[in-house]
Amino acid sequence: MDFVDLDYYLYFLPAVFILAMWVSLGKRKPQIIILLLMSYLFFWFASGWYILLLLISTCVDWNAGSKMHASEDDVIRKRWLKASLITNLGLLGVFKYLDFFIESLNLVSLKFTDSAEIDTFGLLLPVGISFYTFQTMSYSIDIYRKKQKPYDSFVDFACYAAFFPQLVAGPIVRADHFRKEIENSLRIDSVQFRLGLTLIIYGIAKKLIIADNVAVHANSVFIEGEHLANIGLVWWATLCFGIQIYCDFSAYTDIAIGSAYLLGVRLPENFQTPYAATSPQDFWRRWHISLSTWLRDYLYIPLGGSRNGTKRMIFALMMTMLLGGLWHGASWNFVLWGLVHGLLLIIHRFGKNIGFVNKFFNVTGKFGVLISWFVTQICVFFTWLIFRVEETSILIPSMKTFFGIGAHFDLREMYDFLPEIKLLTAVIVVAFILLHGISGKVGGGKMWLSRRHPIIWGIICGVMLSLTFYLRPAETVDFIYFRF
Amino acid sequence: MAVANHADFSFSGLIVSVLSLFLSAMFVLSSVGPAIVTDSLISTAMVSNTRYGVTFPALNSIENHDEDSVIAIGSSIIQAAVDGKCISDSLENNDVNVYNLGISGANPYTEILQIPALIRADPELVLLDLGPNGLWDFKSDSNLDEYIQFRFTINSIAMQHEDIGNWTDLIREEDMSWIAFNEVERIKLTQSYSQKSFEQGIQSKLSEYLDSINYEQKAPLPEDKNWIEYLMQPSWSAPNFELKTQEEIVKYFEENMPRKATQGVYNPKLNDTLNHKSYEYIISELTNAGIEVLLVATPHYPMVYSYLEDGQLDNFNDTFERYSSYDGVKGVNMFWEKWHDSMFKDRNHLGINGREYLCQRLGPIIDGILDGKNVSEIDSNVGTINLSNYLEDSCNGNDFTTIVDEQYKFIQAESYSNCARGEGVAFQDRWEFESSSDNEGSGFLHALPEDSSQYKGKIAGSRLDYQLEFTTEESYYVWINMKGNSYGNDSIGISWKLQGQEYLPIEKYDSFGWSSKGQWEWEPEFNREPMIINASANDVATLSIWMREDGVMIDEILITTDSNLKPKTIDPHQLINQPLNCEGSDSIWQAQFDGEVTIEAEEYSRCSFGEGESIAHQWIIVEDLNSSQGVYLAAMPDERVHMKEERGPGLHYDIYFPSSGTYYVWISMRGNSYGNDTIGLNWNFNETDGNMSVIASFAWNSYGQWEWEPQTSQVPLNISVSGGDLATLSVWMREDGVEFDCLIITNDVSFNPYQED
Repeated sequence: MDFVDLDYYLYFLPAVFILAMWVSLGKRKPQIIILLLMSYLFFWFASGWYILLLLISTCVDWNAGSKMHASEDDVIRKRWLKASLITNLGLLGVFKYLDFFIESLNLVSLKFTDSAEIDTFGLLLPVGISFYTFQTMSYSIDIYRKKQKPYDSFVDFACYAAFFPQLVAGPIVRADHFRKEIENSLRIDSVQFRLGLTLIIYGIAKKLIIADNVAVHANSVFIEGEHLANIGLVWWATLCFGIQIYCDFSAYTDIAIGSAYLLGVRLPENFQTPYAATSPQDFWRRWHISLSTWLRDYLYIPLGGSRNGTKRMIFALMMTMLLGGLWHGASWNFVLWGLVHGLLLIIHRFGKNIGFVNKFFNVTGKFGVLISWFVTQICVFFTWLIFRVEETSILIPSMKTFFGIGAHFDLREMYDFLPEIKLLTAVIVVAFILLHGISGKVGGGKMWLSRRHPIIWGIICGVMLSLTFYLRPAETVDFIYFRF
Repeated sequence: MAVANHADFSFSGLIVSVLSLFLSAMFVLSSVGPAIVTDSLISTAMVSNTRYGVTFPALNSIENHDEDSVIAIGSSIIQAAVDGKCISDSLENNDVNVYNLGISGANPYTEILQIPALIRADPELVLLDLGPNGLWDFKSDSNLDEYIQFRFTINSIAMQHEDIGNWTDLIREEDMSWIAFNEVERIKLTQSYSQKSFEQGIQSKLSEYLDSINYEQKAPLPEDKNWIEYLMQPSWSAPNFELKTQEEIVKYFEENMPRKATQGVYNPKLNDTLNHKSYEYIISELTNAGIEVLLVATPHYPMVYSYLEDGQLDNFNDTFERYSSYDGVKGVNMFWEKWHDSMFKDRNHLGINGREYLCQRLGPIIDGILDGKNVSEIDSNVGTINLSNYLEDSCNGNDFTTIVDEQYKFIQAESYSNCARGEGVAFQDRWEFESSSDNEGSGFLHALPEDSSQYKGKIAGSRLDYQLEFTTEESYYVWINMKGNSYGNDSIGISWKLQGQEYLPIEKYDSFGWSSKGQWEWEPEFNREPMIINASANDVATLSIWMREDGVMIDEILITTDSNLKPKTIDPHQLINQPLNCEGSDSIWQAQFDGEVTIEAEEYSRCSFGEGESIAHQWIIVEDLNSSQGVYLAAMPDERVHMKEERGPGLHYDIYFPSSGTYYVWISMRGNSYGNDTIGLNWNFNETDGNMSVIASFAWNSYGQWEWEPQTSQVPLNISVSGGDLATLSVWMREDGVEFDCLIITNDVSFNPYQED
C-alpha cells in the first residue's frame, strides 16, 4: 500500500481516522496504540516481512536510548550508541548497499583481474529503511549527547519510529518533535481537518497531474537516449525531471503531513519553494529540509563543520554531500550528484567573499539576485540530470549537450520525438513555474483554502480532484523517494 | 460515539465539507468530463474516425430536432451507401430528414447499446444494414475484441443511465468491463480519453494564436450549424477503386478474393450467432416501440460474385427473407443486383455514383413506407428511374470537323465533335450546357454537379473532343475562354493528338486568379503559354478538353496562328481575321523593252500575311476616283506599327522579262506622316531574295500627296535579267497607314514618271 493506492484513501486512512479519533474515545493511550498498530499494518501491506527490520531498529534504539540515559558511564553509553549505529547502519549497509558494493567490486575485478565474480544476494530494498533508521539513530545520538531524554513508553517510541504517514519517505522527524505532538490526546478541529484533506488533495494533484505527466517526457528522453545532441530536448527533459522530482517528493510530503493532520499530529515541512533559491546554500535550506538538517546535525558538524578551518570545512562538506548523495541510492550517479552539490556549495562559500563578486551584487541589486537565481537553478537542474540518468552512455552525452558541447537545436525534432501528450505537458510546466514563483512570494494557499466555508472548500477541492483524475496519465509512477 | 474532544470540531462542518467535495467532484467527473471527451471524440483526430463517437450525441440531437426522421444504422457499408441529404431532398414527404449513423466496423452486436436512445429519438423508420457481413459468428474470433472494447468504451462515455436496456442480456462476460453501468464506471472509462481530449482542447486554443500549431476540427460539434447536415452526410472516405485502372482492380480481386471468400463475412450463418440475436433484439425493440424497420442490403463490386460458390450465401438470403417477414419490418435486398463498376469505392462499399443511384432507389421506397405502402409495390416503381444516367457510358457530340483556315478560328464549347464520360468517380460529373446571352454562341458548358470534385493524376474527368482539319502548315495556339468561381473549380485539362496517334501530355488551364476572380477570361494567362498544335497542311487532329475540377465553365475555343496574341489586352473577336492562305490573281506581268508597264497595286499575283506584330495587318482595297483605276491599297490598321524586324504583309507580282537588260521600278504611293509612309521593295530572282529597298513617300514638301517614288536622288530598285527570265517583285508593308496605288517597271534609266504622266 502507498499513497497512490486508492485503498489508502477509501479504506485505510478513514479507518485510522475513525479508530483514532472516535473509537478511542479521544483518549491518548488507545489513540497511540491504534496509530502504532495501524502503522505496522500499513508497513506490512507495503513491505511484508521486512517489518522485522523496523522492529529490530525500534527495539535496539529503544534499549540503547534507555540504557544511555540510565548510565553516566561514558563507556557504557558509547557502547550502546555503537550498538544503535551498527544496527541501523548495518541494516542500511546490508539491505541497501551490499549488493551495490559487490557489483562495484566485481566491476573493478573484471577490469584488473581474472578472478571470479562474487554473487550478489539479490536483496530487495525494504521500504522506508533510509528514513526510519535515520530517525531512530538521531534519537539515540541525541540521548547520547544528552540533548533529550528517552520516551517514557515503548509504545510511544515505537509509534514515533513507525508512524505510517512519514514512515516510507519522510519527512525525517526528530524524536523531540514527535514526542510533543503525542504527549496529549490527539485532537483535531474543522480547519485542521480541511487542512489535512487539502494537503492530501494538493499532494495527489501535484503527483498525478504534474509529476507523472512531466515524467513521461523526461523518461522518453533519458530512457530511450535518442537525439541527445539536441540541446532543446536535453534541457526540456532536465526541466521536466526537476519538476517531476520536486512535485513527486513534495506531493508525498504533503500527503504525509495531511494524513498526520487528520490524526492530530503535525509533521514538519520538508520544502520551501526550492526553485526560488538564489544560491546552492539557499537551495539546501529549501530542499528536503528534514534530511539536510539531519545531515548537518549528525554528519557535517561532527565531521568538523565550519568552525575548524577551511580544510576541515571542505572535508566535512564534501563528505556530507557525498554520503548524502549515496543515501539516495546505491548508484554512482548519486555519489556524483552529491559531489557536484558539494563542489557548488564550496564554490559558493568562497565565491561570495571575492571582492568583485560582492561588489557586483551590491551594485546590481535585484538584477543581481535574478542572476544568482538563474545561475543557481541552472546548476541545480544540471545536478538533476546527473541524479536522473544512471546509464553512463546516456549521462555523458546529455551532460555535454546540457552545456552546448557538440549540441544543436531542432524544434521539429523535439516536437516529433516527445510523447503524444505534448501541449498539455507544456502547459503544466508553465503553470508549475508560475505557481511555484507565486508560492515562493506569497506562500501556499493551503491555509487560506482550509479556512474557507466548507461548501467553497468542497467545490474547489472537488474540482481539483476531478482535474487530477482526468489529467493524470494512463500509468501512474511510484513515488521516486520510495526507492530511497 | 464521542468525537475528539475539541470544541472547534464541528460534525456538521465535516459532513458539509465532505459532501460538497463529493458532489462537486461528481458533477465535474460525470458531466463536464464526459462532455469534453465526447466533443473531442466526435470532432478531433483523437481517434482514427470521428464517427465512432457520434452515435449518442447524434441520437440526442435527432430527438430534439423538430423534423420527422429516418435513421440508417449499421456498418461502414450503410455509412458509405446512404446520402441522407440526397434522399431527404428526393422525398415527397418534405419534413423528413434522413440520417446516416452507420459506423465503420460496426456489427449488430456493437450497435445494440444505442437502441434505447434510438427509440427515444422516435424516428419514423430505421434503415437497418443487413448484408452477409452482419451474419457471421465472431465468437471464436478474438480479432474483434479490441474493436468491441473500443466501441463499447466510447459509447459508454456518451451514454446516459436510461440507455441501459434489455441489451445487457446479450453482452458477453468479457465485454462487461467496457460498458459503464453506473456513473463511477462511466467516469473510469472517460478517463481513458480525458488526457488526450485536454491535449486536443489546448491544441485548438493555441492554434488560434500560433501558426505553428496545427489543429484541424475534423467534424462539426452538436452546437455547430452544419451538425445536422453532417449527420445526414457523413464525411465519406476518399475514392479508391475509382482511382485504379481495371488491371489494378482485377489484380486486387485475384490476390484477395479467394481468401476473403472463405472468411466469415462471405459465409454467413443462418441463426443463433450473437449477431443474429442482436438483429432480433434490435428489430423486436424497434417494432415493439412502433418504429418501422427497413432492412437494406446493397450489392458488392461485380467481380465479387464470381468468387462465390453456388449457395454460399443461402443463409444470408434466408435470414434476410425471414427477418423481412417480421411484423413492422420490410426489406430491400439489392445484394444480388449487378451495379456498374463505377458505383463502387472498393470491394463492398458504394462510391459517390453508387450513393447517388441508391438515393434514387431508396427515395420512393421510403416515401412509400411512410405513406403505408408495402415494399414490393413500391420497388416495382424503380423502373421509372432513368438508369442510363448511371449505368451507361453514353455521350454524344455533333461529329463536326472544324476547318482551321483562318488566322483566328473560334469554336463554341458546346459544338464538340465527340465526348466521353469521366472514369470512375469522375463518372458523376458532366458538361452541362447553360444558355446565356452574355456568352458567345448561345451559352456555355458548365461542369456539374459542382461539389468540389477534382480529377487529377490518373482520374480522367468528362472529356470533350473537337475535330480539327488544318489547311496550312503552321503552329497553332489554343486559347480557351473560361471561368471558375474559386481556385477549386476553375481548371480543365487540355491536349491534342493527330489522327491515329496518342495524346500529347495533358496541360492544365485554370481561370481563377487573384486578379480575375470569377470573370470570363481567355486562358492561359498570367505568364503561361498556350498549348501549341504543330500541324501540317491537311492534318486532322483532335483537340480534347477534360474536366479537371467540377464547377468550371468554358465558352469558346480560339485556335490561332498569332503567336503574339494577348487576349488579356485585346478581345480576339475584334481582330481583323483573314484567311490563312493569302490569294492573288496569279497573273504574270510582262515587262516592256523600250517602254514601261504599269501594274495596279490591287492586281498582285500572290500575297502573304505579315509576321509578328503585323500578323493582323493587311492591304485593304480603298475606292478613290483620284487614284489609278479608281482603287488603291491601304496598309491597315493604321496603328503606327513599324515592321522593320519582321516582314509585314506582302504583295507579290510575277514579272516576265522577254528581253535582257536592267529594269527599274517606280511606285505610286502616299503617307500622311513620317511614321506611315514607307514600304519595302525587293526582287526574288532565281529563288533568291534580293536586298530590301526601303522607299518613303512623305517629305516636308509633299505630305499627304500621291507621289512617284523614289523621287529624291535615290536610284529606283532595279534588276538585271536575261531574256526570258521570270522574277517576282514584292511590295512589303513597312509602316501601317501607307497607301499604294500602282507601280511602273521600265528599262529606261532616265525615266521620269512626272514627265511621262
